[in-house]
Amino acid sequence: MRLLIGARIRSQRKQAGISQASLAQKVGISASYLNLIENDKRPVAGKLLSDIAQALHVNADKLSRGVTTDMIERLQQTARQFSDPAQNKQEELESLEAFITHFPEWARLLDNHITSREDLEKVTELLSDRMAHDPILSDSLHIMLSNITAIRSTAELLTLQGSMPEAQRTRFTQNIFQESKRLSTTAEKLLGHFDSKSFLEQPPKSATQKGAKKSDQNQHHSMIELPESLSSDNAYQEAAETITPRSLHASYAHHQFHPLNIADYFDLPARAVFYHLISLEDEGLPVFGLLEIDNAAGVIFRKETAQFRLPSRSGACSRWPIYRAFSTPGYPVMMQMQLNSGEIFSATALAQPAERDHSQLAPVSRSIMIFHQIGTAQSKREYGPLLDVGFHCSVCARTQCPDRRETYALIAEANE
Amino acid sequence: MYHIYIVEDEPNIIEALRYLFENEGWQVDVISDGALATAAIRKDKPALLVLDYMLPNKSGLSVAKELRADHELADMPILMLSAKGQMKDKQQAALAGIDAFMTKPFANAELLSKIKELISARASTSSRVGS
Repeated sequence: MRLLIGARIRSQRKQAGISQASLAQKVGISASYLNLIENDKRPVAGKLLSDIAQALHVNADKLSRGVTTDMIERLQQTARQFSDPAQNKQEELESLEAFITHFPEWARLLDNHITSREDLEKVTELLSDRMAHDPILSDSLHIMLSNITAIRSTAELLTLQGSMPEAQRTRFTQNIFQESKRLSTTAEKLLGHFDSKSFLEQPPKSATQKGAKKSDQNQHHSMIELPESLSSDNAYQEAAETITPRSLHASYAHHQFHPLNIADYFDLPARAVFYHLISLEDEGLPVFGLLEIDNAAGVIFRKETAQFRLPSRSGACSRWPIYRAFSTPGYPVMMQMQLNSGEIFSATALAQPAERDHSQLAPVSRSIMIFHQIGTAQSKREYGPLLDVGFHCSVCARTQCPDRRETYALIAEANE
Repeated sequence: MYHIYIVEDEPNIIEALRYLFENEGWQVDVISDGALATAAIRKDKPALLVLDYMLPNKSGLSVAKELRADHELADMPILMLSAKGQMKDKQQAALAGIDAFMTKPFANAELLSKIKELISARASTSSRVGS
């Protein structure tokens, strides 16, 4: 049953904790091609199947023939979990093989749901475990609470005690200074810990970028696991095949690495091109970041860059073009975003309505934004108007911002 | 004048507590090592013990259990200070014989008030037992 080999490869790859890009690199094919194989959109057999099996440390026969058996076992196991033990479901369980044979797409859909549920359970378990037993988190919080205790008690003494010898007052002031320094150091380390790849070994795949750098200089795809829906997107496949670092460098005079110009030059839809651009890595190419959201500002996919952070789940700075684009669906919004640090980023956003699901209602929509750093000093007019932005009101020091919806956290504390 | 023992390993917290207690006119002794606490407290028999949860070499809970096993110290009030404030931590502290549990950070006035309350409660219990 060739149809199911791809799902089996994907399952084995995930079990082995290998990214799509990494496996593709090992067997000498592109990540896009492997994505098609895993979605059973392309056949796989012979040497390639054998190479994939070797890279995953499994028997090639198991990949090609063991699929049905494994799926039957998985479906049976799930069915037993939910069925009433008092009822005899043996006959139904035994007919699963016929179900898989006659309705392979339904079986695959069901199997994918089971696999993703198991993946989510593992991630949840991992997160709970890390929160409960993470020694860095636990130690950092203990140290910070001790710092805060010393600062608070000492500050109360300085504030509320009427008379105090000058030498003691000086010592207490020094103590507060010392503890404040320790507190800020520990807080920074803790933030770094949260940001590190190790904090979440298995992040939700749709909204996270894989981190490791590859060693093969001839491989131009970064270690990003792209949304699986792209495998059925013909425009994306075409972009992956035609837009290469070489073709980009050769046509630089026409597009100057501007994402919209690249899409125009290759005559491909912007979204497909944006997704492809973020996976390219080559000397001289900008490092692109990308955010895609739904009209509730929920994050569908994100790829941060080292300089520009993105929200993991919901809304960020309302001044970003990704939110403005909802006002002009189908028309791109281009602007330059200047951070408080002075760094300037070119950003292009495009909102697209989905198919209407009700004749009396406007459709839901998605907005996508691609960005890259263009400098720190001077803006470039061709990238659109320049606007001050932040990441989120609570951590943005631009207190006079007209679009502020929340108080800057540090100001709030200072006013208490 | 109360004799208070502070078992805590953070120097700046110790300094603030020492000043706070001495300003009340109380006698203060400090130990920063969990392993040395039990012997010193057995010897001096303070009116109250302010005990940190996490200490070098021996935890505050272990110190409390050792002291409670000594019948001469069975009714000495122990106030535990801790950065751990979850229900299970408080339950463990109660099982170890801790009389009161305060989560860090705390207000100085609240700490003083709790200490006075514990010492008064012990005094009234002792006088009732004595009479």
